[in-house]
Amino acid sequence: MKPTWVDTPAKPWEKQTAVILAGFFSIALVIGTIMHHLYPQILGVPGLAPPRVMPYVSYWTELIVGDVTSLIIAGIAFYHCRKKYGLGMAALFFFGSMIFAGLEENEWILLSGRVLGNKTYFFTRGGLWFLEIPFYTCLGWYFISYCSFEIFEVIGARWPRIFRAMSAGIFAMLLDFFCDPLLVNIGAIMNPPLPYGMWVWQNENTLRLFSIPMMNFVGWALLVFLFTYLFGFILDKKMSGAYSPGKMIAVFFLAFPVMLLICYVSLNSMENVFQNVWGHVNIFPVDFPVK
Amino acid sequence: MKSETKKKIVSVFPLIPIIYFLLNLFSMYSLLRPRYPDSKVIWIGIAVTVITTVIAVLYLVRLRRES
Repeated sequence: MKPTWVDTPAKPWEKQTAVILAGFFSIALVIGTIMHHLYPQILGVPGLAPPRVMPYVSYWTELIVGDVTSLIIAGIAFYHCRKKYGLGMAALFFFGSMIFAGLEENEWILLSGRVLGNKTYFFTRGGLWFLEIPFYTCLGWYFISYCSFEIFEVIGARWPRIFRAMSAGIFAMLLDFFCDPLLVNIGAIMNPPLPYGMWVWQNENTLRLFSIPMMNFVGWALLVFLFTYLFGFILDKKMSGAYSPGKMIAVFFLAFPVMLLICYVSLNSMENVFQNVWGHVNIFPVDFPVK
Repeated sequence: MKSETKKKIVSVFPLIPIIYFLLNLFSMYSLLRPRYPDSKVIWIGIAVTVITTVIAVLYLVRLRRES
């Protein structure tokens, strides 16, 4: 059954889901932001000077503009999702994607990088933080994954669910091909230039594409694939009436630990192969030497 | 506004964040360009934009057929 456009008021379970998820995520943002800015020693935040892209305004104004702009763009995607799939599904995608991607990235930065000592990457700037992930990154992940999902829901309406999710993952990875090489070097525009950008890759001796660790691109495709597949699966169950709202939400969130484990194990194994076999290979290098 | 017209407008919303994202990246490139005029990153940007445009056109064609 195809999803219909929703013109009816939200049902009680949809409102409850949206309010509970918004409350949970807001608390996590407040705690993360306080810890990052006021108690950086707890999370071991590196003390690098953040690069600026709007030097004509104050640093805090720049951060607010970044977060608010991302929120508006994410709001456009959310409005579409709410209209097409209903408030409950829109809330699940919005908060679910940010929580899933946020936890996965925190797993790499905090668990792998700072606890286990396998350095990966870290972010250098942000206003609001979900532990060590800037809020604008969570929002960016949301709107890219939602738009990729929706575009291939329409283009591949007759394709099997798994092909639609794979296409969404590859499309999101494609967008990151342009994003990562630019934003990790954006500090080069500053005076004096900085040898890093919005985030810093710390992986040494690994396979690179466009001077960025290959694991990053594989990770993008894998995360978006897994998340959009899960959401599509839940959506199909909702449309066919096979799952009650409670079961739908339970299956959705219980799948997170499994998917996080799949991501961690598969990407870690892949990174070991990359480091041991193609450790010094850099395909199509894109560098911005500090001048 | 008729609900059908409103639906058609809202249907193209998923393209807006993608367009914003690419425009934002090109504006970042414009900041780097004066110091790095020969950077190859622009070719990645052009390739990504061309592929995205093809996908966006396919999306719009499919939407038109559905309505």
